[in-house]
Parts: sequence; C-alpha cells; structure tokens
Amino acid sequence: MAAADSCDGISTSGGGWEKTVTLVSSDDARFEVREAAASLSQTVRRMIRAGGDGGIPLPKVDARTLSTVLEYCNKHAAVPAPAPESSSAEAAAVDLEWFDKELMHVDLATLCSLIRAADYLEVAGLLDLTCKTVADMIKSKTAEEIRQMFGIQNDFTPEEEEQLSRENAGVFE
Amino acid sequence: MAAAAVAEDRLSGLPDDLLHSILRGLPLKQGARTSALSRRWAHQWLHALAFSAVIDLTDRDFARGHPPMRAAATVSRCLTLHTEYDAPLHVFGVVLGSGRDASAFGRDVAEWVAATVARGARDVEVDLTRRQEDPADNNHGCSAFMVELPGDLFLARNSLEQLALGG
Repeated sequence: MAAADSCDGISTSGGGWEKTVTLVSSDDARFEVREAAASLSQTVRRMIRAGGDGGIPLPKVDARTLSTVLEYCNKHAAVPAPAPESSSAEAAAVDLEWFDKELMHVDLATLCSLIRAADYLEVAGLLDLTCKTVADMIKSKTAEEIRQMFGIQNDFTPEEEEQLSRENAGVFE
Repeated sequence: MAAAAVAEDRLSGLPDDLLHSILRGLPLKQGARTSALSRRWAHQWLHALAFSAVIDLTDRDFARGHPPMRAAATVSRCLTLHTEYDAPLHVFGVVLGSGRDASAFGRDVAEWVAATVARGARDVEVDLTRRQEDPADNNHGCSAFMVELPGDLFLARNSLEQLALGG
C-alpha cells in the first residue's frame, strides 16, 4: 500500500471509486469512512483539508460513540439531493426520520456522550437531534420526575427551596 | 425513597452551552421549570434565553402562571444578561398578565423597548394583557395608560421595523 495520506479509497458496489478517510477514536479504534459521510462533521472536514498522515485523530470521542455518530453520518450522507415533491423524496424523508428515531433508542449516558461528540465534531443535524431528544424527555414532567429520570441531586437548602416555590408559584407546580 | 436509578448525573455535567441547546427546545413554561431542579440548573434557563437572538416571552401559558411583578423582573433580568453577553437581538416579544395594574409597568415597558432597540431588535412586541378571569374587573377599557418612549426612538438610526404595544 502506497497510501501515505489519510485519504484512501474503496471501490463501491456500483463499480465506482469513492474516496474514504480513516478516523481514529480516543481508544485507538480505526474507522474507514466515505469522505462524503465524514464531511458531515465540520471538524473532520477541516482536518481533511489540512491533510496529514495515518488517519484523523479524534481524541475526544471513544469508539462506541464514534460508531454511532458514523452510523448517522453514513445514513444522512447517502440521501440523494432531494427532488422536491417527488414521492421518492418524501419516502426518503420518512425513512430518515424513522432511522433517526431508532438511533435515539439509547441509554442516558450514551445520549449525553452523543451530545458532546456531535458538538465537538460539529455535526449540526445530530446535535439538534440529540438535544431535541433530551428536551422531549424533559417535556411534561415535574421537577421531581426530571430529577429521578436523570439522577439530578436537589442541592438547594430548604430555605432556598421555599423561596423558589414562593417566587415561582404557579410556574413550577 | 425511589431507587436512584441513575448513578451519575451525566446531563448536569454537560457544558452550559449544550444545556442551553437542550433548553431552547422546550416551551417557555417547561424550560422555566428546570430552574427548580438544582443549583446547576437554577440560572441555565434564563441564560439560555439571554443568549438567544429571539427573546420570545409571548407564550400565554407562561404569562398566566407568572405573577406579573415577578415576570417583569424576569424580563428585565433577561435583557440585562443579554446586554452583558452582547449577543445579537432580532426579535423581542413579551405578554404579561398585568391584571388591572398595567400602568404599574409603564416604566418597565419603556425601558424594555429602549433596551431592545438599542440592541438592534427589528421586531418588538409588548402586550400587557388583562386577566380575563378576574371577576372584580368589570370596568372594561379602563386599563389605558401612558408609556413614555424615548424621544429619539423614531429618529435615531436603528434597525426597528415593527413595534407593537398593546394592553
């Protein structure tokens, strides 16, 4: 192999040739990804432009989280430019929505790791998706329910708490 | 006691700006409710709002649940924070359930309008809605009051395109 660059290539099933890049997680796992998918991350895109050898290091993302991020990127990069109002574009949008929903079926710790990773890697769509997922979990719950769900310690003193409930009567019921 | 199902509070461990991204996805009232979770969350909701280019406090649910004096203080605090952060501001809207005391907020309203226009807002709306359910309030139409706006508001070069004041 003569590839000294982080950009390699793989042949696609259609017989074409697609450029790939190698991403390296914090725990040294290597992921070969189509450049089009990896470029959904603005952070990776900048690093591809900067060039370099031996893969792109992503020291803030572990392999488990990165593989989920890449699942998202692979799926979203595969969607062809939408021909508006065509039935296939509509079907693709429904499929994508379904995919996103399924991808968010993870535990809270994973969800928080994904939020951090999406922010660090600057994958805007995934950051929106993960933050919205947490917002939906918080929605329509009382403070105590939210605390229990996320393991949040109520560290207000009794006096502070009384003051809060007095000030916010009707808001935090 | 319910079992502590989550060993570690990963959510509260997220940096402020990520908590703000989450909070911006919540309706006003539910966002405000997170202030009661813990010290870590006590000011996040207001800060998330104050970092935003669109300060939209027109949610009727919010106005209804908030005592008007308290709501007015929240609005003022939010605008003060916004100025401190020097974040861009495009839209400012607030609906207050001021009861029969709309005139008590005249000075606040003038300050908000001046502050938001100074911050470059294009669209400013302040609505001091009277409480419909107040049975003692049968003197309709008597809540008119004066708001003295800064004299240079319509002369100075600013970005204001729309100003709506209602009571």
